[in-house]
Amino acid sequence: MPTTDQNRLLYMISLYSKPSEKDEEKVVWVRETSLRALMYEGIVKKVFTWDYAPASVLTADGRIFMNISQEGEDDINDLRELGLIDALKLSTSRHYYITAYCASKKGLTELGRLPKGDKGAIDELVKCKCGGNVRAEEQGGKILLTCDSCKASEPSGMMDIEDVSYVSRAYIPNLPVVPRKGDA
Amino acid sequence: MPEDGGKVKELIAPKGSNIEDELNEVIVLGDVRLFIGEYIPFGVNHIVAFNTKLGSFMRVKSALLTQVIDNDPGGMQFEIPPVMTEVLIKKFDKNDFVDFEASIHYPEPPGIVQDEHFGVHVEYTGKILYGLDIMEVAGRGKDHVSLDHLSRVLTDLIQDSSEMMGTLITDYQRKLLDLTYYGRSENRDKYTFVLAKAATPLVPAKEYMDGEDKENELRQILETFQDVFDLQDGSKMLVGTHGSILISKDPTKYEYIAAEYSFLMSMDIFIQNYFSRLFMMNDCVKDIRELIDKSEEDPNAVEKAQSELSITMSDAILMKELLEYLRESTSALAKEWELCEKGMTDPSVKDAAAKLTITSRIKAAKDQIRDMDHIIDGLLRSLEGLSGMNETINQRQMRHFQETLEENSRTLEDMTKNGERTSAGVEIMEIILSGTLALELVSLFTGGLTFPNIGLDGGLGAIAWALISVACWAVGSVALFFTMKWLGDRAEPAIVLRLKLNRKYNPKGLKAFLEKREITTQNLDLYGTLARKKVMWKYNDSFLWDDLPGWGKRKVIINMTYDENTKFLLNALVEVQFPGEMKLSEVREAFLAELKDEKVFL
Repeated sequence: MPTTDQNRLLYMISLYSKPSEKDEEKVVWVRETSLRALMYEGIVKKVFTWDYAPASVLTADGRIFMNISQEGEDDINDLRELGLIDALKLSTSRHYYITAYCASKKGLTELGRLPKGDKGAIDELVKCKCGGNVRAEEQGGKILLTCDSCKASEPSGMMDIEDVSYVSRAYIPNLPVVPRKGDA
Repeated sequence: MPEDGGKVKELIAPKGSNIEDELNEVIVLGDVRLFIGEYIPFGVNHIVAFNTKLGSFMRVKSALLTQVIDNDPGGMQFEIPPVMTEVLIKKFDKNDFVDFEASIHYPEPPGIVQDEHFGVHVEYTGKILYGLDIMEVAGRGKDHVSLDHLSRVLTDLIQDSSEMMGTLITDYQRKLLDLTYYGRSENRDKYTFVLAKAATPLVPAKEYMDGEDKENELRQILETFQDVFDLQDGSKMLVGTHGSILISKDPTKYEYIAAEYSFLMSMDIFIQNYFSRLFMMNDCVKDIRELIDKSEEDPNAVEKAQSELSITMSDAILMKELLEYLRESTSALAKEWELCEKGMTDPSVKDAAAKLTITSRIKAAKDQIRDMDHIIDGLLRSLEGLSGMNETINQRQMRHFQETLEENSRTLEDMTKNGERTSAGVEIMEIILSGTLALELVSLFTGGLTFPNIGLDGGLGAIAWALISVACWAVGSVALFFTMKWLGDRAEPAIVLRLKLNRKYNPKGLKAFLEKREITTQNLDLYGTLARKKVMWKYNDSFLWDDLPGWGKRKVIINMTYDENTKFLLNALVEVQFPGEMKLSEVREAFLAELKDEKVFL
């Protein structure tokens, strides 16, 4: 039985992906970085109950630090195990591997049973004032949230790593250094 | 710190942080020591330069560091923002290593206090290890370090240490890092090893992989779990792809393997990036081949191919050099680990080393490097082949060009011969015409072609008159010939100065300079990144001649070429008609003086 967060996540993925119904029809997938950005926005706006922490993650342009929810990643895996979403691994032009997701047919069927409140919460998160869907896309090393209808755009705070106060003391372990070839 | 396996699960409002989210703390560590490993290509020369830059040889073993570059080293004073990094040398060997402590004081948001000190070990093998003890996080003591906070501390340390090392390594090393991380070396990842004396909850290692809260929280540090195990002395080891955690009452005895493992894994991260970069270069080779194939259709293809070939070739050579650094580093690491294993007596440490499979990982790294050597050699051979192909196409294009040139020369020669023939005909016509004119003049003065009464009768008078007419014809022809020659000579420029400038110009100055002149023609050639503009203006081109500084009342025509994109003045052609006493050097001085006076040069 999926949790509220999982239901909402499934509905959010279904808004940005579409399985093919016929052989010649193309499948629409949502890239993981875009999905992660929307998940982050959902946490900040209390749509999801997860928390997040900075992590170095692979994007289309290489590694970058961004706020990631490990609980959210875990829920993605749970949805995959339940067969509600499919995951696709693909290589970028820079030869990094990224993942994309798509709601499965089973997942779409499951959506019919979703409480209206969960759908409403996600709609509020991803819908622009004009009624269009907000897209999260990586541009110039930033994630921009852009409405696909009115084109209004704002940067996501996903890459703003929060600071924490701390005090540390230097420590250097006593490490042996192997003599160079010239010393041998 | 309770070590009873009890569960800490509380919602906390963090102190001393700007975290907007409510953190759900599941695991708390106590007495945390951190090792962060990274690989940076080093060699003996680089470690000597590193020691010099740090001031290791100086009497006072501490220094302040800045990223500011002195662009005016001859000046007396300079102003820079407050210096944010302080280093203190602890131990060093000129050619082998240096240990130093760094204190970072980068500006933080209001309410955030970071008293950030870490130790740094740098070796000629490229092994870099940052070490520190966490004393306090988010207003809590060292016995209460939550993983939520620790992940943020680690991100801060990883970024700050990259920034600090950026000021210390050489340009060449920075170039190698940028090449491997595709221009994003400031975001390079490092491997973290967390050594903690306590953890809450303290459970058997496998229970941390619960697929739920504990695992999710640990993944903030480890990324993906690789292995978890309990050691003989009750210590627990949680191993991940980007970090590991050791929970032990006596973590000191594991320090050496933690340091080695951090470095080994950071080298693995570096190798993965290197490997991706190799494949990107293979893509470049494909692109170049396509450009060469299109050389007959696309007129820009050869130029583009040459440019990309040159960049890719230079990158491939650097990648080959980088591989040598990696090879030396893994060899040194293998020897180091061999020595370490011999001295290892504690069964728990031996157990940990075996479970971390350090020996086989070092071997795997060596194999990876050997494998990549084949790839890079293949890549270099492909590039050489492409270079040969490109050269052949260049030669073919040159041959075409030469043939066209020869053909044009032949056509031009034919045209010149025809021109000469026409010119000779025109000259004859001119002479005949001048004769006709002379006869017309004679006729005009004598009142028609009747013989005037000049005292000669009959046939003799007619002959004399004919001779006078022919003489007038000859005089008229010679006069016309010399007049035409004089006019021809007058049309030639007396002084022509061709000047190569190749100097940066001030765009505002040039704009103002040209606005003051009446530009008669201008051409713009756009190709690649260049935008070459040719402008022409004249002085004293009207009937009223001005007395201009430098030029006097002479008529001057100036053509000047400059590049609007690179902001370079390229060349100029100055023609002075009727120069009189003016010499070539004076023409040059007059032209350059007006450019200087009107601040066209930078």
